Amino acid sequence: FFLMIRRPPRSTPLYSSAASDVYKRQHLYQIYPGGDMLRKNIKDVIVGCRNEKNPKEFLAICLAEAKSEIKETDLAVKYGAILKLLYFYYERIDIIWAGFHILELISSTKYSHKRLGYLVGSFIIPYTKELVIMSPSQLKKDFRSKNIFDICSAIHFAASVCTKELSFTIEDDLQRLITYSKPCIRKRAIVLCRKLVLTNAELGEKIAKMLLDKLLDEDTGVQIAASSAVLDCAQVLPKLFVEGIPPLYKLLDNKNNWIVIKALQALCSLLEVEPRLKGKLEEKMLEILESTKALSVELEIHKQIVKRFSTSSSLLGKTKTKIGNYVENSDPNIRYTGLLVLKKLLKSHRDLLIIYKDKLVKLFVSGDAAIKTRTLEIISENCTTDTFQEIADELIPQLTGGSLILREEIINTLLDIIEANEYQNVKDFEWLFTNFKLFILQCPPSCEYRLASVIQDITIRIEDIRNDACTLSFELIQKHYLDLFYSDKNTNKTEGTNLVDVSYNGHIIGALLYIVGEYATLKQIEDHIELVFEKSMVPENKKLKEGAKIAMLLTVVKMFFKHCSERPADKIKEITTKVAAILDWYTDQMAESLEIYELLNFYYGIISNFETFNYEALVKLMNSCFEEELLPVHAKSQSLIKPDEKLKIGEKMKINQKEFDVLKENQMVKLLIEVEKMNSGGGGKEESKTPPPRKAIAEEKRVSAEGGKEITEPAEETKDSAKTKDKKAFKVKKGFVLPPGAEMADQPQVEIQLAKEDNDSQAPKGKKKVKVKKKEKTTALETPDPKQLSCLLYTSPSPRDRG
Amino acid sequence: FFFKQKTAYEIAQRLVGSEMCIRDRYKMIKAVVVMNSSGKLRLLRIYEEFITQGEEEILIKELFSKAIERKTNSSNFVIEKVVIKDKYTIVCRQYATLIFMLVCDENENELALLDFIHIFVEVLDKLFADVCELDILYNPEKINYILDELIIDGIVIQTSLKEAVEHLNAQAKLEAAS
Repeated sequence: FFLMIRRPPRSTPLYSSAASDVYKRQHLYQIYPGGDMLRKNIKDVIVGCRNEKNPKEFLAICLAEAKSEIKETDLAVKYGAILKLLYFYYERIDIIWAGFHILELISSTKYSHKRLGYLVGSFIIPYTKELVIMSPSQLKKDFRSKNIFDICSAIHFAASVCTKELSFTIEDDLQRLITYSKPCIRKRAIVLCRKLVLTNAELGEKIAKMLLDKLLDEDTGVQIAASSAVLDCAQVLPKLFVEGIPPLYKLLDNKNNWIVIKALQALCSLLEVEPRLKGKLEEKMLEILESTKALSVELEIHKQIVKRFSTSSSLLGKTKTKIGNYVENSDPNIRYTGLLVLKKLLKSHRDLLIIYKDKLVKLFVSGDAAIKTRTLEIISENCTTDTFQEIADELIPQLTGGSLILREEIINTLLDIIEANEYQNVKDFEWLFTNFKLFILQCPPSCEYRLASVIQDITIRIEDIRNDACTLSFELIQKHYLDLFYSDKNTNKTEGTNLVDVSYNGHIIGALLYIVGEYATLKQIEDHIELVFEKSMVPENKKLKEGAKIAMLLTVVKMFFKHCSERPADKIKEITTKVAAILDWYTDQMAESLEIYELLNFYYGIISNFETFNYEALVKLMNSCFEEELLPVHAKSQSLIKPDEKLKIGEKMKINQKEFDVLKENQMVKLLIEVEKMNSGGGGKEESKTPPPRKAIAEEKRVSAEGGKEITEPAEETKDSAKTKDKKAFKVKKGFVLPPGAEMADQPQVEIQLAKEDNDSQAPKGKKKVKVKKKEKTTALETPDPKQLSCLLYTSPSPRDRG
Repeated sequence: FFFKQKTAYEIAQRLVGSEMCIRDRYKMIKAVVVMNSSGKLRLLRIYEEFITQGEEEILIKELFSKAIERKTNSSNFVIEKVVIKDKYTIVCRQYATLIFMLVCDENENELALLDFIHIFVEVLDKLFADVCELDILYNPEKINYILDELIIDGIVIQTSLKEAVEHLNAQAKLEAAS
């Protein structure tokens, strides 16, 4: 608004016109680039951001303003807007849309405008390839400018946006620029040359000559740039830079350490094409090692020795002695760089680990996170049988009280070494198992699965250790059961990114339970069976993943049956009720998946009807099922097992409406419906309802769904009237569990067929029915048929598979 | 990203300068970042072309988390594995509330870069007279100009404090006059 003030009357010598002051002051506002009373300049934006309660909103407003300002023709206003864009860039706001306007700013004649335009342009324009095409003419103009700083800015920009197309247009100017009188232009031109070679190898030859000339330029800055450029270009086109070897060699005597380092790196990378260089370079390196005072140069030499000169004994000897000093230096940076060199050294000379073992452990104990990580890497790559135990003994105490990341790293490293080559590195497994306890208690969630599988695997494969494993497992179950669920006492809430994943999945619990279930001796079972029963009903168990739940269930069952062996039936009645109670509880609380459900169904059927069976035979049978030793199966060998052809595993289950309708008319179905009616009418003792939705054959399923509807109500009634435990929600397999004396004559046998089964042929005569048949007499089973049992037995997957 | 790690020799055999992405194995500084101790960016200069801006964001986040993890008596180097699927090194140095970080290839000489950061800070100090974070905050373009005097496109071109300050003063004069 003040811009519209008319020019006021002039001041005279006698009086000054007050209005003229105001008028003159207008210009003050324009000192801030692009700023005036109406527009914010960058300082306003920054101050505003810091003071506002809601900086994001404020920034959004500023961004909108900038967007409109940038379209103004007045270059000063554009300048202000683009300056603000720089700040937006740091706030991670997208500014790529401004590309075109920046090009406009660059075309200004003012140096400040050009400078800023080129600067911000180098952030944005590489992402907008179309605009790169527009730049060459402007660049060429600026390359010829009288003002050297214009040329500098232009070269910066060109170097950052250079593409293949652009390189062809620029290369004409290169010769002139690189031999410019001012060194500041020359060195920038060298960087541009480097970029051109990297984007466009065809120009390599021409540019190589130019670069090599500059290696021995009088100005140090130019030499620095040249040596870096030659280093990178020589990686792409080494043959062209072979001529550069003599000047590079000369540069090794230079005072400037940066130049020496780069020249050395360049020479070493040229060794492949010029092998004769090797001898000379070795001598020179020894010389430099003696004379230099700069640690960076020394370290560079050692790096190169380890990388390329490890055959030379004199050089390698020097490195070996020096490394010891570096890793014990008080300056952590030197320790770290020394460690890096050591790492490379040990890769090629593993036997040297023994010499440095103590130093490594010391480093680990005292170092910071980066050093610790490096040390662990070295250890895990180079540990052998002899060294493992000692090193582990030092590392393991670090687990207590360590941060989450640290514990993760230690445990992963140790597991790496343990697992390598099928446990080759471990001599003493008993010692290992004593340490496993600590591992388990200190295990971070990310390592849980791995640790569990290692423990389980070792126990399975090594017979002698099973006793120890069982003892350990029982101890952990007894004393630390809940610790294995959720442990945030060791996690620092501020660290670690995945706070969501802090709870455990029960892999370790699953593994421990598996171990005791499979390998516990009769004595151990006797001592601990109550314990296991108790723990199986802990409410936290609901949190476990499926595999662990199954493991728990099976362990209870296995232990029960083993316990029952050689004991008469009446003595174990109490335990039987307990187990039945556990299964009950499980059905209520934990049967969320099909497999658990099936298992529960199966075992409940056996256990709740213990009295009806030939007790000893049953126990013997069940134990025989669990007797065989399970060994791990290689993943590849599983693919060798071919499923039966009759099994259409890959096929989708399709419901054919026509077929279905036909079925409805089917006699069998009618019969089924009748039967159900009969059952419900008799206040049936057992559940006559059709089985719950399962992996049954499609038709049967449909049949039951359809036919069952009519009888849903009566069935409910029977449920309510049921009193015994047998009448629980889950369905009992008919063919198997019937109270003695039940009339079987008119009842069809509908059995669920497990998807795995492919043994129709194996079915014993008349006992196992696949389809619904009319009148079939069966007697109550007294001795369960072993074949039948084994068909229906659900071979549990190990917790590991479930994971 | 499908390029394997190649030795210098392998690269020579194939001569794929133009097809090869620049990020493969060149000894250069990939990025310069200055952050304050609460994670706000004060300077960001990326010399290596990242494929997407998403990668940039990841880089910055990682940088910040690594930087604040460090304690005073620790080393100034961090190896980062996440972004770009190459290993690179972060050399960082803390001055008061600001953390200066150079992201570079693992073949760079770390100690030399550590010194280099110090030179950068010394130049800043000379030009701003007892530089503090506010100077850097309110003069983003000037900081970039200073950086441009020392590094172009990831290549160091100046290690002398005196010369750098001279040049920058001359440029500032020209800008003020124009």
